[in-house]
Amino acid sequence: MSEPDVPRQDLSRLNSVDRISIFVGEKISIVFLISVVFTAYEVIMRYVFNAPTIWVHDSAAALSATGFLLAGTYAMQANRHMRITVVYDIMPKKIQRILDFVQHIFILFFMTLFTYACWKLAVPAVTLMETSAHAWDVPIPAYLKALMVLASGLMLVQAISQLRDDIKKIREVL
Amino acid sequence: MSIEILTLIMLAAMMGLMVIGLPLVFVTGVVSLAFALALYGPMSLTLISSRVYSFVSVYALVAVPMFVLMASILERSGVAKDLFKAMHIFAGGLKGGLAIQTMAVAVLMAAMTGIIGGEIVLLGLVALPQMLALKYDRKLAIGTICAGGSLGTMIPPSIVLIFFGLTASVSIGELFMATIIPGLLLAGLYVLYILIRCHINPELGPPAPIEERDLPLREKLILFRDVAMPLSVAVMVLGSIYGGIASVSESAGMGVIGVLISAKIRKELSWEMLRGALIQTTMTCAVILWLTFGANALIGVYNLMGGIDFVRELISGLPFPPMVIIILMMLILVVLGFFIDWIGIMLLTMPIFVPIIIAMGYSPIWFGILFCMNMQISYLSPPFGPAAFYLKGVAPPEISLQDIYASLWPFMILQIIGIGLVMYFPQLALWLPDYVYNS
Amino acid sequence: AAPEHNWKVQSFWSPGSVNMKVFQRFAKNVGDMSNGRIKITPLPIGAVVGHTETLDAVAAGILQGHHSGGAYFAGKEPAFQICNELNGAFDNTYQHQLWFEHGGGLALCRELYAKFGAFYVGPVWFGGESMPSKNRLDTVASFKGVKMRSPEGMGASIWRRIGAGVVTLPGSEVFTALERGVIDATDWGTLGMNQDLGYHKIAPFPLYPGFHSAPASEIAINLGIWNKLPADLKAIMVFAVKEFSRDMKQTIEMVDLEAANQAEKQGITLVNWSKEERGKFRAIAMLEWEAWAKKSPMARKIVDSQVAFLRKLKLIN
Ligand code: NA
Ligand code: NA
Repeated sequence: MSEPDVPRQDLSRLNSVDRISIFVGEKISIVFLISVVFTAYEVIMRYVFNAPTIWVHDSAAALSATGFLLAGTYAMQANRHMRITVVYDIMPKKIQRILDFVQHIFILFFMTLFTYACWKLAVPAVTLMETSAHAWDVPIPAYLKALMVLASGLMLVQAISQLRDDIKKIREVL
Repeated sequence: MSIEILTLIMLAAMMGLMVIGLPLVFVTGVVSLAFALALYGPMSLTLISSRVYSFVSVYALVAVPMFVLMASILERSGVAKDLFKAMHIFAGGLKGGLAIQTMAVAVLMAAMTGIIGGEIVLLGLVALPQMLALKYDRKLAIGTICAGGSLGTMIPPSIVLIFFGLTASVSIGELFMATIIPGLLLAGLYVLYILIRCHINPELGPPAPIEERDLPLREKLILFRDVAMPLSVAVMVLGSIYGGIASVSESAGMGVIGVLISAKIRKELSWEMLRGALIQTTMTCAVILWLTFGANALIGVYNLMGGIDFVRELISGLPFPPMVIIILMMLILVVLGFFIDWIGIMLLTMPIFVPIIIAMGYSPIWFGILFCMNMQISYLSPPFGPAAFYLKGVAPPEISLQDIYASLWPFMILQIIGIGLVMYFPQLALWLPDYVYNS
Repeated sequence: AAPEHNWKVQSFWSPGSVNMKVFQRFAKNVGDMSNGRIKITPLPIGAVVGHTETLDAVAAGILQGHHSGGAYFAGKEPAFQICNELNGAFDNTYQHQLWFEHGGGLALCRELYAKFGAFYVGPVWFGGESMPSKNRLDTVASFKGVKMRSPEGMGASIWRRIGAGVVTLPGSEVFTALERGVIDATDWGTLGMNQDLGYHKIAPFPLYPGFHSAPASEIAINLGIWNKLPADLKAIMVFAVKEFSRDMKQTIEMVDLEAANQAEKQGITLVNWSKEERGKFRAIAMLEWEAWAKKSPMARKIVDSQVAFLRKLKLIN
């Protein structure tokens, strides 16, 4: 599936957490273009010059992974993560606000524990500077594991910010 | 607690969280974390981050954003409109011609993109208004667009098959080969259905007025030039795979280069356009990938609980002949397709189904195609029908989601017929890869 | 009675594969030998964690053990690769086993794994890798400019050293790439496995018997659990792993033998390297061993031990 186009949001109406999420999501999208360019380079080097590189595949994979991970908070801010809303949609406004709040409690639970789990994974990897042990022997595993902490940390902050908004909205409807 | 009871609790918890509208990544995420924590303690939480890490660092995933990017750039160009115009000249005069032409455009677009969504949106914007203006039957028009647009993952390239190849460790190139005939078969069934319905009742799909179709030769030639460009993109992707130039993942990159060049020649390429396409790609990938993270975490925890053996024994312990077991699997996939998206279904079921299929002596390639066809149903089936959601986003406001779903069931029946045919005649899927690889 | 020890042990084999079945036999043997006191649940690749992450999972106690190969963990400590294998070093797994049992190999690998929270119970061989190729590759020189797929690691680096162009491909894409000519050869499974996958039809010059790679995988158990095991269960595990290795090696050998016997009928040419060319390969491989030895003190120690043993065997000067 592909997401419908992403409308530009009016940044002035958003809080700083939202703005960071949008900034990260929009800026990080460049990694996908870079990985296209790298891939084309590899194909030409190999097919035309019979000289495959040792770094294109690993770096393209790391770039894509960077995009996937950091975009999590972008989708969260835009409320695009896939959900089933048949029941939610038929509920009255008041109940929907409460459900929003309950949802964000669960999201907060997940993001807190997940960030902790990423941290536990990253510490030994970064301490050892874990590498791929490939011919291009660079610490991609250490980098990606550290990046997971950043990505989930950003989502955690985003979740807290959204929970705060929910509470405000509940006060408004009650 | 026994695995049976734990499984039930897990399912109930997931249902509950889904019903309140929690995004699916968090439904699966929360359930897996809670079970890991409760059954194995805090030390086990890294199992979840570890699985996400392993999944995200798989090289073959680079093809996913690339195929999405191709679709996003195509969406921003006038290619779809031009394709549609060109087809109009040929098919506009037929009863139901506009619908058939929509299907033809859908197949061509499907050969250029690996996902659904963009295609449905495009057809919804280009073809739906024209069919409605011609007083087409609304249901037939909607069904044509949703079913046709869904072919994006059925005709190669296909992200569904990339993920299947990764999950089942089978050749993605062979899967791409194998899906061509079944994909065209589905499209053929749709066309046949449209023709028959419009033949019986011409009111459903009146032909277009002659003046719309009769263009001077020069304009016809220009249309052909515009159409040649996108077709070369498809050639670039599949040609680089089958010409021995690039691997499947790399061919996705070649495809992006192809659309960029064709957009440049069509004078549509700008930094602003590319930027929009990249941002949309990022959003789409975020949604697809985070969904898989959640499903992946859940599978890890469930396997640790002994889930693999439990489900395998549950299925293979059934006193049925193999074909019945396969039909049963298909039914499970259909039922799951009501509620969750293809990637969740794949991650949940394929690690269990594929070994059983192999053990029963069937081809996993063939089963991959059956799975892919089954997911075509899942796009259309309510309440969670992505194809319907995408069309709703661009359809006139008086068309409700209920209207859309009500239009889709005849096409779902056609899909079931298609699955039945490929099931009964495996050669529909296996002949082409066999011919290509073993001759 | 309920087992005293209930272990989840994740392997690096695909579900339903011959190797997985042998692993399941091992799990059953341990149960029988210990009279049900140890129950091993054998898990296929990726069941609980990814195949490069099992060592961490064993150390954390998420898994109680794994059946995997050290090369997957070489990014944490290069010495893991050396315990797995020095590519091109021994002529056969029997010699490799001699080093483990009489050349100090086992003690060194146990020392290494203990640093990462796991006990290295013993090595498990699964046979020599074959290498399907579209053309006859029977000398070091014939590899010049050959496009091949190889899993990254020491093996891939040696192929590069002898002039091959190594292409990274996901496993699931290898067949298509080979068939279409994106690559000319692939450093892939054992002969029988490849025959099953149909490689002989598109690449009819498999290297057999393979000499470039016959890695020792292993069974490793969480160190805390191991240390608390009573002596009888420890002995049962050690002996069961030895039997497991024999069973795995011989099962695969028979499958390979059947495949080799059918080769001629199928129009396949089995490519066996001469002693002289093997020597040339080993000489170049030694440069790569030395490069790995420089990566860490522990790697140095294990490479030196193995090289000394190879001298004793007169495989190198
Ligand atoms: Na497609
Ligand atoms: Na559905």
